Amino acid sequence: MNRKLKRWIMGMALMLTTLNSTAGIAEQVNGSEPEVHNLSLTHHDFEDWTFTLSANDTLAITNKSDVAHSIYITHPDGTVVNLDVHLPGETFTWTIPAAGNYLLQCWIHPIIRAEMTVSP
Amino acid sequence: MKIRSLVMLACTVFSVHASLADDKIKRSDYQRPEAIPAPASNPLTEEKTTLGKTLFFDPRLSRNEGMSCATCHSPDHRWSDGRVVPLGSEELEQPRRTPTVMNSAWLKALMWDGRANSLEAQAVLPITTPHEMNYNMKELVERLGEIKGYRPLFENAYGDTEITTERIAMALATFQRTLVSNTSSFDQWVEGDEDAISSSAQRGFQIFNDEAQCAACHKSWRFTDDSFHDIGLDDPDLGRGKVIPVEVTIMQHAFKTPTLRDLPENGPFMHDGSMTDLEEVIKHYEDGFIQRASLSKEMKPFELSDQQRADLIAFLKTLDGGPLAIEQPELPEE
Repeated sequence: MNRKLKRWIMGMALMLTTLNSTAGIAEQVNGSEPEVHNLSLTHHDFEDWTFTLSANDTLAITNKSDVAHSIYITHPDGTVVNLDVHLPGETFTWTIPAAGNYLLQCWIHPIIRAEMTVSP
Repeated sequence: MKIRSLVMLACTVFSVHASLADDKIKRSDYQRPEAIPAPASNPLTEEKTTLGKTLFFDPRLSRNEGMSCATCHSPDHRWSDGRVVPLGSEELEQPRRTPTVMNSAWLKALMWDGRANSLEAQAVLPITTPHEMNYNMKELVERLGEIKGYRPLFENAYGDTEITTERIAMALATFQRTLVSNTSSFDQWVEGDEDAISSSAQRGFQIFNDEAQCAACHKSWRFTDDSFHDIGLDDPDLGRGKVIPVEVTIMQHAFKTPTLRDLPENGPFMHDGSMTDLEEVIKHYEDGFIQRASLSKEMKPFELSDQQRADLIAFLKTLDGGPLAIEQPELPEE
């Protein structure tokens, strides 16, 4: 099996797992079901996004650059969550635990930085 | 007839291949910026540059009045010091080579491990580091306050004679922002002068972007991604791994990608100054690096011929714009 196909299958499996796990989460405060939002990561930036985030939503981030990234997230209370290393083409997910302001950064490329406000 | 068809096919294939290569490697990706950036909180002014330059060359910024910023970031050594181990670091267990301060206006993370996020934040670190200038900002402010000649310099820069840590740092940062590489022959080639660099250097540019994949990290007109990578040197220094959480394995032994502009002839190269010629550096990237969990994912082995290595070196030499013309400042009298 070639590497691209393997990565695609792994990505799909990850997405399905995420969808499955978020399906069981209780309804959000605003009454809507949790959503999965796709976000792209380039060499030195997150691509612009138009979606709005709510608690329990999931971000599916795809590394569309040809270099590795290592994203970490600073939670509103200062807790830092590492999302490991993401090779080119890989998709990784993060489910937002609660409302507040989050900061997404890359350990390897400090220039990569995105602030996200999450509603309840 | 068959031969003619084959020749035409070969020409078409070659043409498509060349076109793809041109699309992939854009000279414009390496175009120099038009202006020097500066934060809104510390805009560039001539007066602040003059003050910053004076401070940069003044050894009274060190406790024993024997070391200035320019002692290690010397205009004679492309704003570094040409030493494997910096002055004062001889007794350190893991000394790091002095990086150049040229083109630092564009840096997003400073120091080899990125522990400063602005030139203003970085400016006070060498002054207060015990094995460097070994001073403290409170006493430095008092010392400069007693030097009458500094008063007009601060007044011109800030509107009054008050001396503060913040003003010293802002002036030093401002001066450093003005240290920009001269236009090199590579820059002229990027601008369209086809004869500005040799055929060997042009082949080297291709190798830089293709076979050797140097451009994965040494990108943009400054030839750095302002990022951190473990390049597999046999050195116990954890680099960025010392200043961020230990569980971030990929940052163990990681150091900031240095610029490739204005490289000194004999180095030293690498963060630990362990290499003194570019051929040795290239061979390290080919297959000389240590395999370990933290090794950068961009470190992929490749093999070059002697000619290709020579071409790559010829290209790197086209990034040298020569020393900056600078007049040493007259230091203010007591």
